[in-house]
Amino acid sequence: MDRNTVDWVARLARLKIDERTGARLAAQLSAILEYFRSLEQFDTATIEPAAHPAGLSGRARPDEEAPSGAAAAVLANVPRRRDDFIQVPRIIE
Amino acid sequence: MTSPAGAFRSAVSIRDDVLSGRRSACQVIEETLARVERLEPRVDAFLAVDRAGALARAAEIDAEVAAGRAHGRLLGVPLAVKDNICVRGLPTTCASRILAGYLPPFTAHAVERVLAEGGIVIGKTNCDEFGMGSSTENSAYKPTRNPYDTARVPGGSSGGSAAAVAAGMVPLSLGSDTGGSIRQPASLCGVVGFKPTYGAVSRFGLVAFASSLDQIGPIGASLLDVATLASVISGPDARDSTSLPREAPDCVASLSPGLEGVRIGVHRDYFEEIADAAVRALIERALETLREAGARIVRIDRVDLLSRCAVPAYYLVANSEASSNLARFDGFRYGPSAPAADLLGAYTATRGRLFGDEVKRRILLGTFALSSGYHDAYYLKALRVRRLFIDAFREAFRAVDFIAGATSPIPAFALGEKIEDPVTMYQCDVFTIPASLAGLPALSVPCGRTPEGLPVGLQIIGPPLADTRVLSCAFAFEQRSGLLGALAPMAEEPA
Repeated sequence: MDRNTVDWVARLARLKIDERTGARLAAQLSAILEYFRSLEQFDTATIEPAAHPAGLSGRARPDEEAPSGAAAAVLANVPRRRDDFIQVPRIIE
Repeated sequence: MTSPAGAFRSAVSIRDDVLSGRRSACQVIEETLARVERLEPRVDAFLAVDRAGALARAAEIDAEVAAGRAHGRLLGVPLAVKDNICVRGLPTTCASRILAGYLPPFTAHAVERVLAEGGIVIGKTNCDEFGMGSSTENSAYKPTRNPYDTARVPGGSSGGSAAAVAAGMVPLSLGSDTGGSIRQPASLCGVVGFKPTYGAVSRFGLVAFASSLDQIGPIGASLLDVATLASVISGPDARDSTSLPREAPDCVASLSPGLEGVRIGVHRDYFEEIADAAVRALIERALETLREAGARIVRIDRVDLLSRCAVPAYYLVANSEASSNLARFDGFRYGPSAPAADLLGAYTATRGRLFGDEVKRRILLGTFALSSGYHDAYYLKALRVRRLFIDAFREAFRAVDFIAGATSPIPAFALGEKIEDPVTMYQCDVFTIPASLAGLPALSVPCGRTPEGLPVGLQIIGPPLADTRVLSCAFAFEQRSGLLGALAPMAEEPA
């Protein structure tokens, strides 16, 4: 993985990476991806991907109203708020 | 039953003492806090100790005992909880600066169950940031040290939870295991660590790392204690859609010392190729012990062959899920926030400044593996290999009841030894990852010490939902291992 790819992925991942860290990460990620090539030894062309361990499927709960009761505790963790709103930089000029 | 030696006081005996009034819960907690205070400067297992809360809860329990209303399988038992598991009112940082100061508005399902059984949370334990690591050196706050040799790591990511038990500070703790994060530190610290079947314990209140792999589980100094805590925390929970809809099994009642007729599968080639000589010798001896208990040892080659690509498959799956899960840390809803002129700048600055190096590496790897043009070659390829593991285990469990081998290819390594080399660090998980990919119940039980005095763990893996049988198999081994209740030498020091 070269420097440009690291910058591109960092943009996708919303991570600010400085110049020195970027160079180090490019070398480390390249070594990791090189090591990951050992997966190629297994032919998986006809194998279904397994996103979950065997025998599990998602379950839906009944669609019923229930109090969460936690609004105050949730808002207490917000670093910048005004009344019951979370403050963020302006997104529409 | 072999009687435990030295400083070890089991959770079960503490509970019996408190219930019968032989000791008060306050006395138990005072003694626990004194041990934590004495040993913590050498071990650094905790990120937070809740002295006032634990004593207040102990006083309530003592009042219940006096009134004849007390009950609970963990009555008066002090426990430590890994810092990625939420306890309302206590800070939860996941050992990350991005969650500094966060107070969760809820308590994890597993902790609710512990509290309902009279357990007392003493504090939150150190771990690798967001559970990402195998040494606890990736904590943003401090490394934890192995109680057997404080120049070495306790393993990770649940290093604080394993070290707190090994040092005799608490009889039980909760950890979480994504690719081995309960079993590997249990092995390196000479304690028992159990990862239940995926879905057996609700993940509600566990900060997500890799949702299809994460599982909460118990760490303790004996199988009886670990089975007790496993019974308490297992069971369905509507707040986790992957929680299995079956009632908690009684893991304690089914503990049995015999292994007659049990078939145990073992890996050979890859294990012999990569495991340390001292580890190999102890595992051979452990297999001999299992044989003496009546088990038949059978070679299984397919899982062994696949193990060569366990680490890449796991790291691609886990990091892809992590890159998505960790997107929620944006600096606006919790934790510190870096000032910036615009929204994108605020995201990138907060995340860039407050995530540690390993977390950044994993987010980048996962984002890359999921990105357009690379998704099929990396992420989908890993999911297909994951299917090979699931199929290979299913096939193996037609011929054997359990699979046994080393939990870790090496004993505890020196602090700083591997931290600069991610690939070498990732390989620490090579034996624990296969069971994680397949969602299987797996456990590490102490099986001896190397000539240098470092603990080594035997891993026992079972088929899906065989949690009680895996615990019972390990119990049979523990009864013959001569290591029941063995703790690090520092736990035996006089106060």
